[in-house]
Amino acid sequence: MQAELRELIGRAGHGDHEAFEAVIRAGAGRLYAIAYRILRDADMADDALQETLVKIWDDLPTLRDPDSFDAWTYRITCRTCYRVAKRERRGSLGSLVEPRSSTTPSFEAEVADHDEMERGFRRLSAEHRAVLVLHYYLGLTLSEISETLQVAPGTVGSRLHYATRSLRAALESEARSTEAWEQSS
Amino acid sequence: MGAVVMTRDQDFERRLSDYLTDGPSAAPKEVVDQAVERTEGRRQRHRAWVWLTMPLDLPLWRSDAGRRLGRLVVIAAVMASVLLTALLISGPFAGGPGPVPEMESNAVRSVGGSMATTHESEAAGVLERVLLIEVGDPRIDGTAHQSLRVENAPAAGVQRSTGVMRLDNDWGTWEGVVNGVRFPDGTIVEYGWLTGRGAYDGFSYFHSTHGPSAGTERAIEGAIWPGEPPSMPDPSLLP
Repeated sequence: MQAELRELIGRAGHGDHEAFEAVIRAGAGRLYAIAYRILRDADMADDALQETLVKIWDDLPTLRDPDSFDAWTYRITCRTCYRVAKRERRGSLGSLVEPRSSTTPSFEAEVADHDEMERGFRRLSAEHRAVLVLHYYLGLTLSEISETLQVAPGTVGSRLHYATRSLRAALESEARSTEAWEQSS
Repeated sequence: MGAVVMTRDQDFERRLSDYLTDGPSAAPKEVVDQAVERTEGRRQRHRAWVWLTMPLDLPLWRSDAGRRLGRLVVIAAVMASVLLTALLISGPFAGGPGPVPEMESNAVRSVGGSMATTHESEAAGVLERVLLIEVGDPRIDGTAHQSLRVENAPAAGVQRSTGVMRLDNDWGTWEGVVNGVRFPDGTIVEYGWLTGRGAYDGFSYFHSTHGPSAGTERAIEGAIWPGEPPSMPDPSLLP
């Protein structure tokens, strides 16, 4: 971590609001990207980001090691997403996939692939989505996810296993449905 | 065969990575602006805790008199904590939560008992409830908080509620979504899957209640299940 950023985090933890603003303007994009990918809804991601940023300000004095700032903010983001998903209920129950327009056959295939993945992903709980996002989007290892979320490594492993298995099953069943539909028509 | 499986795995992981890469990576400016505005002049938490845990490198401690005073403060704090510990062990607070309940990794356990509402308030269509749950199983016995959105259908005399429930006890927490309906005769049916946390990590609890309307005791039927709550099936898969 850059010395300048570390210093800003330290100052923000001591109530320097300008330093806090500089820190969050630099890092909010990453947190929003995480929130959006877990919640799959722009409005919910907006809510989650705002709650996360306020929580970061509130709790910054408790952060003892500025080098762990990134992991700490990811943890707050994920936990806020769990709350928002539960509150909005749509998070765990899924919602309709917005259709995307297509122009060429290859683009159509890409759209279909994306929509299949979207439907499967939306069936997962926010906790399972978070593990997938941290692993496949941020590229964190299982032990890094375990430290970030402060859950046992075994739990991270089982969540990742369950999430990928559920997603694969959903994709396979989508593929079977499509095949059956094509054969019948 | 192994190579085929490997390719399928790699293909799946590539599709998943592509899917997750697709999406915004910049935060909406107005959301960040609002957060900045909301935190301006807002007091940060845990100042006292930070002060207590910061290294003792204050000017006071740098003089001999300061160090002596510092030692006295530390000794007094240690004595106070020893006294407090002794009180907790032998005094009226003795007992503690006891050993962590055993969680059999593959066994499903059904539980049954009752729950009583100890507090209830409603504002703007949101019902807040505190419940005392007793099923004779230490993993479930505890205090639950519910925050439910309530919708009334006065013509039919029916009310439906949906919201979140958190059940706390000494070793962990169960959290999840609950749904309920109150029928014209005052009977309430409520159910939900809760996810375990703490000592209950990796387990889920199916919670259902049935009985007369809130404010009185209702029967509970439930089950503790290894693994996560079931994911929602897709109705489009029906033949």
